[in-house]
Amino acid sequence: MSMKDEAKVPPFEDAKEERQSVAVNEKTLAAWEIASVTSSFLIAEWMVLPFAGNSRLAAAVPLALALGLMLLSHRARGESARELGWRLDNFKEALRLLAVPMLAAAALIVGTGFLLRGLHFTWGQFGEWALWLPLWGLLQQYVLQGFINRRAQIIFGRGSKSVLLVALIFALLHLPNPWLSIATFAGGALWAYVYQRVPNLPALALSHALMSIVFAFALPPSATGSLRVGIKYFG
Amino acid sequence: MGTMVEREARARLTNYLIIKSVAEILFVGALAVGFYLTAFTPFFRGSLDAADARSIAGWVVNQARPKAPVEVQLYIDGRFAGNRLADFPRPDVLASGRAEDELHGFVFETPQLPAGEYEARVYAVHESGKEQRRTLQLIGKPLLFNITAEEAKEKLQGRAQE
Repeated sequence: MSMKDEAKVPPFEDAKEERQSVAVNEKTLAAWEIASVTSSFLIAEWMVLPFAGNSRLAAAVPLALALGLMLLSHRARGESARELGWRLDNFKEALRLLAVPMLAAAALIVGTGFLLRGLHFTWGQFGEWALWLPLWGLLQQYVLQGFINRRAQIIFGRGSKSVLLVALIFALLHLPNPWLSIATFAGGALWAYVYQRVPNLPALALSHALMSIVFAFALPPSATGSLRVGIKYFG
Repeated sequence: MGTMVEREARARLTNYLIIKSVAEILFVGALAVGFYLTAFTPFFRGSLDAADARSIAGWVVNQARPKAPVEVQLYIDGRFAGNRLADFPRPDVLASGRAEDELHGFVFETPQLPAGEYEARVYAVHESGKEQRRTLQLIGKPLLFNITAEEAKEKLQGRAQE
């Protein structure tokens, strides 16, 4: 194309081309961010334990790098805490959306546990889980929805494709525990769907904690692998 | 959902992603090398000197802890045949400057075996990870040895007399 020809290109064509280029870069960047955060968690689950034992310091390295990326990304994209779901004004609305699927899932899990003769309960264990599971759930939901879901929506938009991607990543992070991977795929899809409609992280964390408790008490520890994931699953 | 990233912020984010990837590669590499050096210490030196129908002998030193005797395990044709501490006197090892004292030799009595050709391997035992792991490292080269029908018979008679 000669200089003369270039000069003939209407200005709006240039702008359109640039917009397309930016859009592609946005998607690539979002995909890279998702892959990067996911790989950090996989490193913590699969590499740290066999190579560094139970060293919390070693496990903290990839997690801190992932947290740094998420914070920088929120800042770069101008996302506020409220937008991410750190809010309470829509808490009840989110719970309303979650209630029916949660009850159905709980019934299914308890029914399966009954058939497998796995139903069991101890107050001591319940007390321990009731303390840390909501916090653990909140952290997981922040990463999964507040970050991965939002980046998935940049790639695929709101809807089934981005929900499916979130669910797949959540299940991947719970491999090789088969029951937990299935449960987290289903749970991940539900929570991603609800988050896209009503972004509220505390409600998702509460749901996460309750479903985890039902899952752990309804199914036999031999089936749930004592909720272990990654290399820990193998003992 | 997901506001567009401005050029400068995009550059910062991209730089961080690259730095993070490099940091994680270095981290995993350091973990792997650290694990290797801990689980399979490169400081064992030794040799399997002789193997016959009567005994299997050699020496081993852990240069990271030169005064501590090393535990060794004997395998004949891939099967465990015994273990002991390498604390037998070997003045030649001390004289050659390979150890700080002479108590680094090992001698296994060759177990009773039918006539035939066998391969002896001796491994140094190394503990790591707060006794969670025990790894074996081959000392020197494996040695082939023969047991004749006569030697096998002698050994059997010796055992019977004992």
